[in-house]
Amino acid sequence: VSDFFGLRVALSSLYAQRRGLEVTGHNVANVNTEGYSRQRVGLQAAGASTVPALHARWEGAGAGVDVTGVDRLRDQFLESRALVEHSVDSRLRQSQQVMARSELVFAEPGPNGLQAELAEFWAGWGDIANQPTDLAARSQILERSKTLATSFNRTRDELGTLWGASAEQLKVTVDDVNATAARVAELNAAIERATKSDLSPNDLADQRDLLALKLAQSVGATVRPGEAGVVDVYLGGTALVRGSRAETLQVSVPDGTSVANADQKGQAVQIQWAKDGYPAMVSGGRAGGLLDGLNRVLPATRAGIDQIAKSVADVVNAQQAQGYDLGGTEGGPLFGWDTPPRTGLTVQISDPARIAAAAEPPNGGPSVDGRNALRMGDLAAKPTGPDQAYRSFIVALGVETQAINRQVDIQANITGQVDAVRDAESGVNLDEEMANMVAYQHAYSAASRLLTAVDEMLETLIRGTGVVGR
Amino acid sequence: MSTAFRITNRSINRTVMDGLQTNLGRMQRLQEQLSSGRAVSRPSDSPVSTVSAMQYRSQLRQVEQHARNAQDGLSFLGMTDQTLTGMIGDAGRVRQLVLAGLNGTASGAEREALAAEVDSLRSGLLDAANSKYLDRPLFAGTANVPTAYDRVTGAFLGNAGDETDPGATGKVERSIAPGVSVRVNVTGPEVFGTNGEDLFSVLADVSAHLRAGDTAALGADLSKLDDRLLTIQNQLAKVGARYHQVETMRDRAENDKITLTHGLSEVEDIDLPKTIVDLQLQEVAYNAALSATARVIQPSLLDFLR
Repeated sequence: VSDFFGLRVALSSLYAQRRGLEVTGHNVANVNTEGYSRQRVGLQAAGASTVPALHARWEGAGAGVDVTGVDRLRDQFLESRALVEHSVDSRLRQSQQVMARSELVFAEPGPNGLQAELAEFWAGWGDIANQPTDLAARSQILERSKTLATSFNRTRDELGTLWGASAEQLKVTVDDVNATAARVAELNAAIERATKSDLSPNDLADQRDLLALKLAQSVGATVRPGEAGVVDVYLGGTALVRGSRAETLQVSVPDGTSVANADQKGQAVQIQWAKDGYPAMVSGGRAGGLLDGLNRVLPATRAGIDQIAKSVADVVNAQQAQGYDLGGTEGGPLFGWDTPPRTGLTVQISDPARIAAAAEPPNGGPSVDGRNALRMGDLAAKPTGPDQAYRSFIVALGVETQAINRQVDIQANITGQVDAVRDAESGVNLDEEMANMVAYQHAYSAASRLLTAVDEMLETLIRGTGVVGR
Repeated sequence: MSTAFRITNRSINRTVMDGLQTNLGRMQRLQEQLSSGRAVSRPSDSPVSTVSAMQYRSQLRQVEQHARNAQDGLSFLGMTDQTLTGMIGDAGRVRQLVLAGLNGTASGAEREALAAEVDSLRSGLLDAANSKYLDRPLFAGTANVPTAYDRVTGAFLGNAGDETDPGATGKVERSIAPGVSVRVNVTGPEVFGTNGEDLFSVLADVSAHLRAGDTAALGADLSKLDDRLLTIQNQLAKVGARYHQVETMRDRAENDKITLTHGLSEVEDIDLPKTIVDLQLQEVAYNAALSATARVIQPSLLDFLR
């Protein structure tokens, strides 16, 4: 054993403790960095030589300490779990947003909702029944009919606007996914290079994993670890990112026409692979929520309100047809219904005298009877009438929104717990870092002291020997 | 959170932020309720309350309209009642004149005077029978005519109703409750007798027979007049009964208005004292969470190292 070997041992310790301090410093610096995983210096006792050689037998202790690397403390199982939970969480939140907005369109319950306008409309017929010859009461009904028609059409238009906004949001999301996927691929390449040249890719990997989480939140992507620290990102079994190569997605409709008009043509919006136009399996993430809104929730809501508008037109026109107007002719339709995107609900009568208030046929001259108007007013309470249908519709909407609100709450809890466990595994604890810092500091001091001790020993040997008897 | 975990600054931070967010969310919800004054502002707040509120609102509007209809019906019936009561008085006076004419001692001049008074009473009764409610003849049924009786000939111009026939024309109805409509008019023929035998023909006959001094015919006229008077009194009784019915229904509708308004407010509006107390409790909880946060986040090993 070399006499200078003690210096080597002290030096290895100085290096190792300094590296430890550096890593501790890095951890402290990144305590608030999103996606950062705490790092640890891997230390290993450098063993003595175990290979005996001629005339050279190792008799000393170990050879100090080796730094084996800097490890990222991260649980892969928890990470994949987080991807799944975040994907569900984002999808539910997006659906919740769509539901909440479509709910607000109806302004129920309240004095400005369609229910209030329907009630106002039906009540107006009572005034006609009281004064069948009074043109003011008749004009009032025409005005209320117009208001009702406008409200139905406006509600429908607002749902259409909501559809358009959601489609736009889906496009932005997909653009964002493409950019993120490309960045993941770049980072994969960098990580591969770093790993192969034996450099530490930890911080790149943190960045990449954060982006993978974003992909899960956007489109519900999943991750599979590959060679050399690289990960592949999958979307329903097809690779979105494989190694350093990323695919791109696009928003489209099956017949290839513009997405903007898809809802009016009953076409389902989908996300496709740009390379071959095959639909991508997107069921999670924000995009999943948006697709659900675009292809299911909003069209169904719109169909529901259309059905009620049509029912209003049908029952009112049927009652009109049973009566006679001020001129004694049979009542014509008050409302017109043309399935949107055409005109929707329209008022067909402009002359107030054309409202069929009389139930009696003209007898010698037109009747001033008001009983048909009276029956019209009674339709408000009809069990199969549009009012009842509208209330059921609003309740169904409310129940569905409430259900999704609950699901969001539950999922937020689950996601929060998974995140907490991940933080517990990968997060930086300042107290712990502080303790480590003190430990490394002490070890460093001790190693310096060792150096001094060996130094003094050697000095004694070099200067103190051979001077006996001088 | 389970204590089995390693606790890190980020997980403390997350827990604390989650807690504060939940607290803030509750406060926001209460503040929204307080500022809008409404407990249910969207269907998902409570689908059941939403449908109740919608039902209340719809019913309230119906009840308001029913009360209005009833009020209008009451005016119609009241006017009919007044007119008929006045007419009974006048017809009674005619009866006295007929009795005076029947007295054989009356001279020609006296009978002429009686006849003239009968004529004037007849003309007054005809005017009364042509009374209008809101420009609509009270006794003309559903016919679109300016007057119920021709002012010269006394012929009925309207259409007659028939109490026993539900499909008969000439009925004026008011809807006073869900599915309940009450007839508010009586037509001329129903109350004054059918054409040719009606009150006004009888009076014309009385006048003619007075002038002619035909006491035998006058005797017959007297019994006809009594018949007509009896019919008017019968119809008046019916009008009175309907008036009472409509009045009851109107009062009920007014009561329902109060009940429904109360119900709507119960469902839709906030309980103000309760919401304020809840908000204050929530503020206390929020402050507690904030001060706990300050205590949890502050100490670290850093405070105790040199």
